[in-house]
Amino acid sequence: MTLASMRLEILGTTSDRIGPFALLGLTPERCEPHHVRLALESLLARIDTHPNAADPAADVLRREIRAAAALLLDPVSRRELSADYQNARHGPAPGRTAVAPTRSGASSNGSPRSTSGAPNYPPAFLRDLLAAWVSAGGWNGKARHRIIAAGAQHGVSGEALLDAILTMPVTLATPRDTPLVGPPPTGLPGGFDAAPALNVSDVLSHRDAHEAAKRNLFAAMLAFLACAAIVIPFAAWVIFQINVMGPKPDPSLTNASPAPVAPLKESTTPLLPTVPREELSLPVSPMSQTFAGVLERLDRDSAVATELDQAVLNLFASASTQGRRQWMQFDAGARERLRDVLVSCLYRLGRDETSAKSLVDLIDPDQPRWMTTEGITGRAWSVGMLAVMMREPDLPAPARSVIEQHWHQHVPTGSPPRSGDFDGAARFALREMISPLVGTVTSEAAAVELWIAWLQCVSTVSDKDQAEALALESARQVLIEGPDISASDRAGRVIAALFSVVRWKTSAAARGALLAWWDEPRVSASDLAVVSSWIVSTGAIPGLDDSFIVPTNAGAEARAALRQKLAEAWTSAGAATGNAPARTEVADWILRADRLLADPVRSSPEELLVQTIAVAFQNTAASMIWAARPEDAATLLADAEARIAAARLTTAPPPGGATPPVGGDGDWAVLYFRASKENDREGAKRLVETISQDILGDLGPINAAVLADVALNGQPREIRPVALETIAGSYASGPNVLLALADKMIPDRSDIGLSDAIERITGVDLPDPRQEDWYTRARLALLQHVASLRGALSANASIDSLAKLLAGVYGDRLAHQSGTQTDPAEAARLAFEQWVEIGRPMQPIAPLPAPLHQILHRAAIRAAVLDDPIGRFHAWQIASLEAASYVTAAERPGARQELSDLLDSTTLRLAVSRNAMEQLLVAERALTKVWEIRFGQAARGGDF
Amino acid sequence: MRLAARHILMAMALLAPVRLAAAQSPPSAPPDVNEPTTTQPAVPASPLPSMDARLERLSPSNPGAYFLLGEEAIDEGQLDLAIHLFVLAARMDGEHFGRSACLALAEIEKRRGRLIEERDLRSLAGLLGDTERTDSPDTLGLRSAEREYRRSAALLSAMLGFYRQGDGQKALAALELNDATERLVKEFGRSFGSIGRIISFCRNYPRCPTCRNERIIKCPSCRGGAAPGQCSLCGGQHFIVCNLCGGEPGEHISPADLDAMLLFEVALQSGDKASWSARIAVDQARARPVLDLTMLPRWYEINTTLTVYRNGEWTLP
Repeated sequence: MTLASMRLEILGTTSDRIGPFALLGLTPERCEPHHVRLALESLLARIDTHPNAADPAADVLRREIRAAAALLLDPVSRRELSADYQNARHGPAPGRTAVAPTRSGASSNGSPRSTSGAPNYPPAFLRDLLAAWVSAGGWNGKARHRIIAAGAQHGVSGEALLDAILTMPVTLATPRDTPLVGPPPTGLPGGFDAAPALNVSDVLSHRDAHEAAKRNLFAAMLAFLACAAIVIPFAAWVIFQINVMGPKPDPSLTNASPAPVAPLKESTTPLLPTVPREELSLPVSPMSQTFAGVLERLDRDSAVATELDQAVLNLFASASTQGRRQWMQFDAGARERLRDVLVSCLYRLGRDETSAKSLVDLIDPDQPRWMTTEGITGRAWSVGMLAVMMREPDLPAPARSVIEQHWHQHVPTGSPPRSGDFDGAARFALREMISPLVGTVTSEAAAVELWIAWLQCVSTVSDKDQAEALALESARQVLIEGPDISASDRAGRVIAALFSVVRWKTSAAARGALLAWWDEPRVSASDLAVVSSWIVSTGAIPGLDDSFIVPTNAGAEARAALRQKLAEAWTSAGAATGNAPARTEVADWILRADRLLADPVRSSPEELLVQTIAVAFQNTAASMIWAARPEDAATLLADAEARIAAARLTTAPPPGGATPPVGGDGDWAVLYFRASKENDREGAKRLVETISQDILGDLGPINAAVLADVALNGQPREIRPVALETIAGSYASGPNVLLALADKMIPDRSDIGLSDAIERITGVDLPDPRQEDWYTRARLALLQHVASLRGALSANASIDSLAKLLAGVYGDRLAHQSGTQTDPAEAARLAFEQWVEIGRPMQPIAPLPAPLHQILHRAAIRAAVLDDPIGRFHAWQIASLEAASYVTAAERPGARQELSDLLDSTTLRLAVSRNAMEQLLVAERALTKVWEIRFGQAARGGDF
Repeated sequence: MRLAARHILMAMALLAPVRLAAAQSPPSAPPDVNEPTTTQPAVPASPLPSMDARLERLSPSNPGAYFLLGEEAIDEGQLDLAIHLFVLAARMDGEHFGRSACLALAEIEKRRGRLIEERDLRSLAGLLGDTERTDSPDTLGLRSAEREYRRSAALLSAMLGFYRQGDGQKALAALELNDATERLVKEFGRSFGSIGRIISFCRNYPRCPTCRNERIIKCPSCRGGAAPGQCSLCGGQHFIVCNLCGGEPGEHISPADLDAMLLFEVALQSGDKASWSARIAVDQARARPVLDLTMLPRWYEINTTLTVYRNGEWTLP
């Protein structure tokens, strides 16, 4: 988009010749610092909400607006500009003709009106006025904005603007020095740029001219009356808008809805300062060649180093230090490369404790004073890196030990991020920083810079929802624990920075958080006054007027009333923008939900699982409808039955085991035994090597046991790898041989050759044989392989297929899922976390069933207790139910008792459930009931 | 630490059927004990007059007194009475006494060797706790218990492997008696026959007495000295398959039992990564414990509406 177009849409003009007053829509009478800030905020917000807000043109415009604001905020330059403005308005200095201190337009008269009573505005102003009206398509909000901007551009005060609008029909129809009755102009309305008029006397006779004049007069009167009927209400609206922005509201002209408390006088409400948006995001670029060279050298040198020497350590220190400082500026590929090289170094050189400690300490140095911009970015990176390294089970034991120590310093308790997820872990670290950062708002001069660094990190590792949730959580804490933002510029700047990542118009989380602040007694009324004033003035939430601004002395009752009013206004605004679910979709959903809830509970585990999945589809559809994705919901529900049926039809594949052995079992064993007893080593070895030529596929139990015994305990030892090779090469599909091998393995005895053979046979990556859990994992891999070959694992394949479908359906609830979920417990955990993220900004006075931190705590305990696949899924399912209830109760305080009853009855139903599958169904149905309540459906009782 | 065979005997004694039965009862389908009745026999009848007097002084307006008297009952060895009092205290004022009552009940269950109940009660106490520092899965020992559980599952699986190979001696050596093993046996002891029976078999069958599990023995007919083709038994091979165990020492295991055993081992060792079908095959989708304070009366079948003690009975206030 071009700068001119952007100007036109934002300022209502394409001209770049605008003075500071005009640019900001101010006058010398209204240019106190808070007016300037308000105007600046308003214009920047308008640019930010523009679809092309990220274009360079928008940045240019932002810079111009900020420069104008800076001029007007400076007392000296403001005085000079005011003097220029007054001179221009009341008595143009010689050689100057502008009606306002602009470099465009001209006025032949210092008076706003001509002696004839017709308005005497410069043609450029009137043209802009008309252009604004026409381009907006009539009298509407867009026209209002553009007209105000046009007035501001030409330095026309609010009263004069009203006057101009009221007289516009006359003005437009009456070019200067043109009599009202006379030859009508042609060309453009208003005739400012009209072609020369035709001489009517040449065409009409005197009588005809008289009649024409009468008709013209009549038509002009009609046109005037019609226009006045339209213009006057609109003008009142414009005046109201001017009053919102101006210092002296005129209640008589506003049509604001009555507020329960007297509207706040703006002059008493300090406004939020501005934080430049570009400060909050960093340009991302590939890694510099120098740094890439460092990594390359580190990778190469560590690969050939036998131990950690000083040179490699220095390279590692350089890489990790730069990583800590600059990781946010790297693109994804560069970040990945950095992680890979550092982890590879740990694999190669972290084999002894000293080296491992040296390396890990560089990644996560001990920083008692981390509260600096570098400290914040570094700490987030460190925790992210630790999470990545925690994912590496095959790291040398000393390295793992040191990493775990560091990890638990950062993640001691609670619900830690899952290891392996850099972004998730970094976000966790950033969340942990919120409380200490809030403390800086009072004490640290550089608090704003710290918060900006924090926000930059957040933006790097979060999607928009996650960043918004963290920002809202932080804002809440600043409002509760920080200094009064009406008195502290620093606090105000922090809040403004945090608000910059919130999508007020579209985000349900933002709505919930903001409304919760009205409920939160620890958020002072003066803070709410600033916040509400900002929301109203910036248009962050459309359709609000100053009756929504909280008075600084508002009591609990007034706050509650304003909260309710805001909630209602916001809901309708959301509906207008398509964010609230449509009634028909919800109604259809509820009808279907009722049918599902009325379905009698079946008895067999598989039938119960099918019922659970059907309800899970319903709940996923609810989340889609709520997220304004009704088409997705409809598609999901339309496919539900077919997908369930397909999963149920899954049958077990035929066992992959080899054909049963043919011939006498034990013959080979006798031959081998004899050769062994007679010390015929070559003969014994040959027998082991050639057995597969005689017996294909699998061995009988006796031969299998003897061959496995040779592989594990054969003497001389040289025969063991031969036997292992025979097993891995020829009997990888032989359940008898493999089961014998598994059953004869001795705990605590590890063998690299055996480990390699098992990896070849099973395809499972095993840990280093010296690690403690090697035996367990190696044997489990073999047993799984054997069970699979025997068909034991797939005897009830439909259950597993249904479980996978359940995971997929849960995964569909996730707003930010990557790939299809196949693990039901993991999918349920993610669904729970999604609810938590929704609920995190909400701070209900009476949380249900418990405060959020306690819900998290309970979830962690349940997941630890229920440690099998079905139990763990159920644990996260119950956690989701609790978190969903929390969110719904916070959104609908009136439904709190209903939700509480629902949770109680669910507990009872779970307790009397016959089996785990019925418990899954009960929990999933309870979640459906919560959705019904969230959709505003009154409880109808009944079984579920 | 490994246990010798005599320790296994002790283990078998610990894993008595009575306790196995008890383990399966608590969370599932108890009767609705909150049906209003007028009286309920005290559990048990107070053996000491002084305790009776103290019981009669209790009032629902002071739930703390129930809890304190429960502690005194423990000191006096009246565990059933203590349980009753703790459950009443927890139900009357869960906010203040719920967590403490659960911990006290867990201690009682530990004394009684009911490990599953103890774990569930500790977990419930953790749920009721407010601070992650004191009641995290780590501090409650849940994670370490899970690790121990997995390790015991692996050792139990190893034991079953040696049992399948007919090596009772190694099987018993692999089995480690600890709380986790006991929990495993309690939870899944009946998955395929009975683990107790398997342990018993291993005790009686350390190995094949003839071949000592080598499966092949020297030909008893020719003593390994016959020329080729001359011995009718070994055909001159000097060795034959063990004539006692037939080359397959140990107990005959049917294919179905073998599959069930494999599923059991795979499901337990895979933890939450096991397949759902394997898990259902192992535990028949038994109901999971409902960790909620309201469940306490159901677990112990105590009518918590009867809160006043009069004439040796709990009655309505």
